[in-house]
Amino acid sequence: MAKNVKKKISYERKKQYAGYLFIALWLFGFTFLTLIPLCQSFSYSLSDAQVQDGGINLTFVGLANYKRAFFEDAEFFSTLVETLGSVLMETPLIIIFSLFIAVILNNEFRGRTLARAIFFLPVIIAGGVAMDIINSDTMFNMMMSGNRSNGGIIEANFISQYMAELGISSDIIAYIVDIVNNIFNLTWKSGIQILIFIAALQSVSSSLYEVSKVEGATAWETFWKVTFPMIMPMMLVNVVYTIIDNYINYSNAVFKMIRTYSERIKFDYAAAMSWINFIIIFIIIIIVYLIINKRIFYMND
Amino acid sequence: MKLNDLASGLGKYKPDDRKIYDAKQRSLKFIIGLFRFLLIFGLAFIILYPIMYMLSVTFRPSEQLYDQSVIWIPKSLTLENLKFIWKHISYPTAALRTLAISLLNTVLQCISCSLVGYGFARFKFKGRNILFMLVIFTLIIPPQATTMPLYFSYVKFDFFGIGKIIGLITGEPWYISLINTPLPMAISAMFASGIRAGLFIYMYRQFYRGMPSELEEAAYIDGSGLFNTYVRIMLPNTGPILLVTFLFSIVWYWNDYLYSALFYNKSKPLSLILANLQNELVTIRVNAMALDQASRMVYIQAACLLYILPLLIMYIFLQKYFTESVVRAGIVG
Repeated sequence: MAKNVKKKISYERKKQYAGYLFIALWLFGFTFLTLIPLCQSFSYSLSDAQVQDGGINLTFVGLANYKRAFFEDAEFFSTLVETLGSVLMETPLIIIFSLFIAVILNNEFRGRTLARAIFFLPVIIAGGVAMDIINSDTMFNMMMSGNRSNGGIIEANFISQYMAELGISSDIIAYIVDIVNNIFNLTWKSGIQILIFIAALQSVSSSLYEVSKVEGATAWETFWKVTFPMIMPMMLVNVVYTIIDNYINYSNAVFKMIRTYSERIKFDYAAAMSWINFIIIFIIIIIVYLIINKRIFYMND
Repeated sequence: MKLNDLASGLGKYKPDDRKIYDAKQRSLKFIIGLFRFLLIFGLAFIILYPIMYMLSVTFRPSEQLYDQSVIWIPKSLTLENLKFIWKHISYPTAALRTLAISLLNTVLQCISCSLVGYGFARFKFKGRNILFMLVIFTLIIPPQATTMPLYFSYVKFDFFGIGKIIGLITGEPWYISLINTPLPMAISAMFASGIRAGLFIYMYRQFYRGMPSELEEAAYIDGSGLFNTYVRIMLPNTGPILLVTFLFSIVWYWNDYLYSALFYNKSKPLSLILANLQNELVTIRVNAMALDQASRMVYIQAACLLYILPLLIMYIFLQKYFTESVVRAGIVG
């Protein structure tokens, strides 16, 4: 019998190569559409760019652009800090708010589908051009902040008066009034988070709830000891997503600055600003990820 | 049939459907229900407020804009604003164009992200984790860091260097300008680097991980190649995830301003038109007269309404798929 053993690649090996093949699309795209432009924009930021008929002439100037961004341009630094501060302050509020709403929307009650449909509407509209126009519409703002005497929709004035009479310190009053006035903003930014939390809540197996009921836990305890740990992985996803989403938003002030600079053909400075932007957001996300990851309880560990 | 009825009847039994005879508990339940209703109603009002505002202002003649006696419903309805904006931005062509851009990129993105997600899910190759980190990393990059060089490479597009090679032969590098074509965004979408593509790759990977591997092993035993397995076995099951990806992608491409502003300066998609409308309206003349502030505001609201109208219609008809499909697709865990 002729021994006809051809040396074949093992199945595992074949799968390895096939894996590379499946990813080849993305690898190609990542290299040429992300990595190389990143390096190019980094080189822009390190140089002085002059546009010359269809191309760019770069002269290396080192960190001059960065120095200018940090130390000489008063506008950039203050806008950066302001945007960063608002994103960081709004993120916990958005998470708490969307968790609260998700818990409510998870129980069954009449009209739940309609409620879910309405709460998810902001995703369709927010983050686009229309939102920005609405937000900056002066009459709309007047109606929202209740400055007009008979057109006020959300007025927190009497709440603050009442609370001052109760004797609560003025700092807390200011904070709470701020939140109430901001509810519009928060609600419009929480669309996807609510959805993710609902999905997470539904993935908690009901046997856990039964056990806790048998053991006699109250609803409050059940929430904190059963529900909350189980949805913590998705909380991390939500936090990161919120930070990213609020930062890469059409109406982001820093982006506006970068855009104005790009349109004036000062690409080098704009590139430096965007790299600073990028590094800052990267650091923040890494910090957040490390902090939360330590506390996450993974069921399948 | 009877067994099914019995089983389904049992399943419909929910403890909350029982009548609560205890008065205290019943009133408690009523109060909680009332509180919940008020909360949801209030928040729903906040959410729907801009839309109501848009509708109210759009159908209102501009003289009544600051009229204090008009709360929501204007004294006289008019379609004049809509007609003006419709003609001014040539809405049908612009909307169709935007729709074509969104659809093209969405389809490309769905296909490519699905492929890449499957690769990350099922194949163990060296550097898999690091590469996946990079995928997530692409989500974090602020677009400005990459868009400017991309713009330059697309203005004189030489097909990733092939044009230069041709140039060595013919003496002059071959390039074409890709601005104002759908190609720049299509190229990104084709290579799984479109808008929020990293998120889609992540979702597809989670989904494929959740599929039982026995299916693929059975296919292998039956002699199917790897790509064949993907096309014939994995793809037909991707219904929910495909729907989610499709819907989200359409919405994001329709709302996109950053990339559209970069790559289009003539035949603009709707988001660009809307963004520039404010400045445009200041400069145009109707009947040799400039528009006053009230008319401008009314026209802008009308334009906003027209801009989100297709999305709203799609949402009203498909909202069930939006909300339920994410939950059903099981991207969690």
